[in-house]
Amino acid sequence: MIIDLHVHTKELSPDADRDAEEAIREAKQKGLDGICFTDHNRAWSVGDTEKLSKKWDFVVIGGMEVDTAEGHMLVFGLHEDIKKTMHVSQLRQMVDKVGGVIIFAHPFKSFLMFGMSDISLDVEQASARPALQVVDALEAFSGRAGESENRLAQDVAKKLGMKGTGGSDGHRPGEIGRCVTIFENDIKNEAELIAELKAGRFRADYFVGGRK
Amino acid sequence: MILDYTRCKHASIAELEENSLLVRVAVEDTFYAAEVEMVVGLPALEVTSIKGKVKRAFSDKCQQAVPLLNEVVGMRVGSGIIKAVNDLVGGPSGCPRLADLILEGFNDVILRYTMPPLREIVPLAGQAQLEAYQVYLRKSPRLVGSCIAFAEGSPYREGLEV
Repeated sequence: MIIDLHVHTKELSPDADRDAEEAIREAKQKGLDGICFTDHNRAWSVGDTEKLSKKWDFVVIGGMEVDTAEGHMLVFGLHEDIKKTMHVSQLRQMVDKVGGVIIFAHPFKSFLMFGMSDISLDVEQASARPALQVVDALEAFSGRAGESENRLAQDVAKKLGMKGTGGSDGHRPGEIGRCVTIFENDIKNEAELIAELKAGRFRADYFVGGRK
Repeated sequence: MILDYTRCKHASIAELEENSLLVRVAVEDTFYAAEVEMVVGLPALEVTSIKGKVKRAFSDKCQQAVPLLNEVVGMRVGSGIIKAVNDLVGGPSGCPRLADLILEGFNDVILRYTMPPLREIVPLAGQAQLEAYQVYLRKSPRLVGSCIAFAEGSPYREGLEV
């Protein structure tokens, strides 16, 4: 089952340029089996995603992309808006209370921002980031990170024995499905998604159009 | 009425032996004086320690916000830092001036790694310089649109997908 775990919508993300129904239409056209709305610090209600799911006969699950001091975190299971930047350790406590999961979103996006300069991060050093120790998985295929940044994330996941997810981080039309998470089992709702993420029964990849 | 106001801001960055940068930023004006000193670990660019003090201010609010500086430890100089610093240090219970000093320090770190490659390109001429800029922009996409030289339509951006 192919799901884009990281999609923004105009309804709840001020920087997004496409609404939820357009995103669903695009995901269906591209051959995905499901989509997760992960807007910035704003949570979709289960009722709203269920309505969309029913209307479009498509798996639609609400999550959130939370700003933390250590970076952006995809969260599933939390249903309250986050009003203030916090540390990932604080977010961990909140998410544990509801039995949810945290995925470190695009952990090395812009990490290689200094281009030609003499600064470079190897897998060993990147793996030592403290925030990586408190998340359940990391986004190893991000539609908004560079190829080398994604490769670093994949290598770090491998080194730490963590699972890597995939998501487009799509904000605009045409961006859905650039990266996806491929689950071994069918998923119909948030509870099943969380269970499969926790069990690690998935892999991630680039997608862009055709079915893998 | 005679208005008399002066302001002096100083920022410096030094490389420490233990693979880290020492960043110091201080501001002093007629009403307000404060300084922040932080150590940024390399190559992760994460803040490993920070200290600071407010020497002079209109109210106690900024003085009381000094412990909030510790919220910055673990933060990485990269995307999202402006919001994070403003939220954690400059928020309603914090001090926007201290947040500004931290962000000024982060900017120094970024400039530390921006200038050297540009200095190598500037002496080049003609096609060699154009190509060097194009390679530089490709490797440092954060600079795209950051100034008129790298704005839309610039020859330096030719062939660059943004």
